[in-house]
Amino acid sequence: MSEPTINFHIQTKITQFKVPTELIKKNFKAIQKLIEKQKKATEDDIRKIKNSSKLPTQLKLALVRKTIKSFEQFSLKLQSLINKDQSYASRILARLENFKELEEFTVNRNKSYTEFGSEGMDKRDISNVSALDEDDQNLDLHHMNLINWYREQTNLLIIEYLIKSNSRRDSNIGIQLLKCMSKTNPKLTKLIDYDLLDNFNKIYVSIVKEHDISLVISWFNENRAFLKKVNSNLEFEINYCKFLSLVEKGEVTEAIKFSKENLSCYGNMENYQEQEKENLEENLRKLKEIGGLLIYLAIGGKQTSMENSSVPFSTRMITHSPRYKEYEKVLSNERWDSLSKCFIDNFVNLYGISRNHPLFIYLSAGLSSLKTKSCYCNTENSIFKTDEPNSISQGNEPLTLTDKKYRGPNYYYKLLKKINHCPVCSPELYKLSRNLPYAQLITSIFNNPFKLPNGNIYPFDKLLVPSEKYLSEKNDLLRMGKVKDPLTKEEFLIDECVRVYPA
Amino acid sequence: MGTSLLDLLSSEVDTFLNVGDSSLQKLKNDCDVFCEELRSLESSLEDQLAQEEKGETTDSSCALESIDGLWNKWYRGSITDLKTYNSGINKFSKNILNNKKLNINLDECYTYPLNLYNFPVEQETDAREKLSAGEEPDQLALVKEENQEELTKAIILHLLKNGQCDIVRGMVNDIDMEKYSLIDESLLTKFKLLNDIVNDIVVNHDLTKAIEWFKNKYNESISFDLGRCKSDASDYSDIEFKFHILQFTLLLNGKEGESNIESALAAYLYSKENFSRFFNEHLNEISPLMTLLLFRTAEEPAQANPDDNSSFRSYMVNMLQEFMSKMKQSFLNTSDSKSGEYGGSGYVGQILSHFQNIHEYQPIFVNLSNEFMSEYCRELKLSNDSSLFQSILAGFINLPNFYKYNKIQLKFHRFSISGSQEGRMKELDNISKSTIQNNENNTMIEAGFNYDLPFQLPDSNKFLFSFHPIFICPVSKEQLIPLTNIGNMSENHRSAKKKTTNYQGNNNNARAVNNPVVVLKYCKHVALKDSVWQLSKKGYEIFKCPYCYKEHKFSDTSDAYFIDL
Repeated sequence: MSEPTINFHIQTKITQFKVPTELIKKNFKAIQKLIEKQKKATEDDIRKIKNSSKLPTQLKLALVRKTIKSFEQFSLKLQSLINKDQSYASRILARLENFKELEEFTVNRNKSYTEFGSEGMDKRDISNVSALDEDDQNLDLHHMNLINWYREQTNLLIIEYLIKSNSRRDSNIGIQLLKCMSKTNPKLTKLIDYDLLDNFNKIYVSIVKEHDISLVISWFNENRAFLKKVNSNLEFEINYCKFLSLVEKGEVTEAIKFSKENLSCYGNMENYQEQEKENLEENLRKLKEIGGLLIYLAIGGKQTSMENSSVPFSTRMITHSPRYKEYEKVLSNERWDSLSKCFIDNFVNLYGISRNHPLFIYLSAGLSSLKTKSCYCNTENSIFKTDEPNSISQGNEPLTLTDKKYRGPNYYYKLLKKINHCPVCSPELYKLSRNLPYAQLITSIFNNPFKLPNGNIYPFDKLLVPSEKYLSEKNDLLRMGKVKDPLTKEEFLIDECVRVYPA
Repeated sequence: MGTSLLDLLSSEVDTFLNVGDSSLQKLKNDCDVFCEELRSLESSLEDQLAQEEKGETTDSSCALESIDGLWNKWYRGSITDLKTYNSGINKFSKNILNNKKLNINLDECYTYPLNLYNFPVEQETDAREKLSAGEEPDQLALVKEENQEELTKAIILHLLKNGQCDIVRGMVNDIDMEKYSLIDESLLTKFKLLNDIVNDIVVNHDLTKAIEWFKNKYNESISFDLGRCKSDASDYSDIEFKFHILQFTLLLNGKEGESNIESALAAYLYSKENFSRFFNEHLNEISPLMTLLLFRTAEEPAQANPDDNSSFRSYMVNMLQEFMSKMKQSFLNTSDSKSGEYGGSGYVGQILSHFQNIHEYQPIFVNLSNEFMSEYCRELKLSNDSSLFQSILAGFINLPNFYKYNKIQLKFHRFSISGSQEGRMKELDNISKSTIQNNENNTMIEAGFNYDLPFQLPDSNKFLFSFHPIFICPVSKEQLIPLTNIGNMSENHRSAKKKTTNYQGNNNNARAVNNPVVVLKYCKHVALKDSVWQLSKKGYEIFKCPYCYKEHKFSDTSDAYFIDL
């Protein structure tokens, strides 16, 4: 069994440092390029100035002024890149500070163990414990501010999920949410790489929704070096999509020309590395298919007259063959999916981002650790109305409260006007947790369970605490040595009730 | 003791950022220096030109030739700066980003995947279209879409509870409007109010609206509750009291953070009006606060009279601080004995330790606003915190266990695959249960009652998450399934018929459902009915209580139901 520690939080969130570092690297390369460009651009001028002693002063001055101008512009550009670097660096710093906050919430386990030790704890145990703990610090969950720290992390997870899963073209709800939340908590913008995620989402949406590959192409060009290193298949996917789009538009000659230039090389085994076998096979399969496409197109052109008996038998044969259906698939949206998946893979790989939304990962672990066999779909705890009938208030038939079914939590909470705070019982999360396992728990029943003759077991203190109002019904009953079952409204003598022992 | 990862991270980040900052500054500096040189060259040329116009001749070729050297210096300098930074970046990557000790792949913690898509999906997608077209829908795809909607709803509720009312309107469009007669407007306005109050607390440190809300509630409950039992009203008061003492502190501190006789008076009047209701339960907390009042006023003459010896003033301030710390200590000592759960005690302690600069101690306001949120939600009959947050909190806390389990499973797999036939058999024996379930899990839609987490979680954090009475049978070690699930069962059956996919768990469910706890007559111990039925050999034999060995017959047991109040 492990408990949350600072180390674990850092280990699972190292991406928070990786992404800005990648951005810094990219920016660094831009600076490098800028300097080289400046060097080249002024090389000539400088030489001319150097050798200009014979020229009239007027010309010399013009030369120098030109160089100054170019350097001033360079200086401005350099400054803006430096500013960028600083903003990325400030993210790293903010994230470090964010982790440092955790230090305030630690419990010093080692210390408490040594205290125990002095009271006669086995020495071997102590050494074991400190070996386990090493330098790790456990977090003190009693600390309100730690809970708030998690609250903030949760909001960040939600924002990240919303940005990445956005499916709209015009706006991104996650970005909007970040803006709203950072009004009261400005450091949020430093804790999440919203610009990167937004860009990621934009590229994805442009592929899948608009079938526009210009964004992904420019992303590919930006990261060409990295993609080559990891044997990415993205370029093929891009070209394949391009080709099919040409075909779709009916520009067959263009398509064939394009394929000769950009696709045929993928058929050559020598162009692949050892590790890319999978890509090779997949690409070959796709390449083989596109030849047949042309026939498909030739037939497709006549499709309007299909019903006509004049269509040759052979054509009809082909259109009904399974192969023909395959071509339909080739031209379907499948290629966009394939391109977008390839893009996601590469993107995630580049920045070391987890493949699954972190929100899902934490949510899944949390739900399965909270899911009990007592959980039920508590429709009360939601603001979304469903059309399912409300099982209690519905109908005029008098409630027979002694009915067994009312002893299930799905009824008794409502009848007792008690609020069920269990998160897994909230209808939304109840449904999300359907496929998750149940947590292994230990018996934990309220204090002093007290059984009435009808079988209902209540917490003694709450059942019998006298009401504040002196003359209340409850107090009257108490004076007579009686108690009323709050659920069934039956009255019993307290003497008939017993304390039970669940463990 | 070695350094913790945080220390490592901290020192590496420090060096990294320093290197970056200094080398880029130098880079900029180099550029500026060169520009300066060019400008001085320019002005000397200008001078020369002016002199030439006057007919004098000077020679600047020397300066002109030096430009080449300067330019080279700029370039070489820049390259050196870049190199320094580059090696800084590489060092950081090596020591931190690619450090095995620091890297846990979050995906490896995803032991039990949710039925959700990992990429953006629009609502009306293929599966639903197929369904409406009468085609055989992909069951899993349908569930995933439904789940995505549920997640969106959970997020909406989370945002509402956290006072992000405005953004929600946009999100609502993302879910299926036909199925839900959505959130009604009156509810939204209520959340809007919550939003305002929370903003006032957190941003403006203004508690008036919140306190007013409490007052209204209190008055309502008095007039409404005349005959009825109390419980609710008294539950409020704990949090309401926190608001009152913070307000008291704010008043005492005065508007400009300068406490004077007026602010003390205001605080005194406030306390007179509002504290009386809480004397019974909170005398402990009120008394140290009221003492603050005394000291504040005592300090006053010293401030008012600048002629007074300033050493007297500082003496007073020291006295005050000493007294405050003593008081805090004694207060903490007494409150230590009272254990608090999350949110519990320590509040007054916090106020005392940040008394002088209360406005700079944001957590106090954030915490209070969260507590207010829970009170407000209780009014709306909603659970006291965001369910989504609570679940994710549990995720944060328990994730290390999921990770460990997954790691062990992976290792075990590798080991047994590379192992002999024997090893493979062993694997089948040992991990068949969990792995097979894991595999099934990929396509599973609804888990059966026999599907338990294969490991136990630490219960040190149980205090955060105990929502249901849980009973584990001492005999069968099974968890009690309360009656609820009879209702659920029929629903499951219904949906199973509708959805065609039927998970193996259903049979188990049917068996488990009618298995209440029974109380043994003579010792009042509790066990599950099925277990006792087995113990008594289907009712034929006398059996011993698994705890105390007292003898019972099956007929000596009676069904019972745990009901929390």
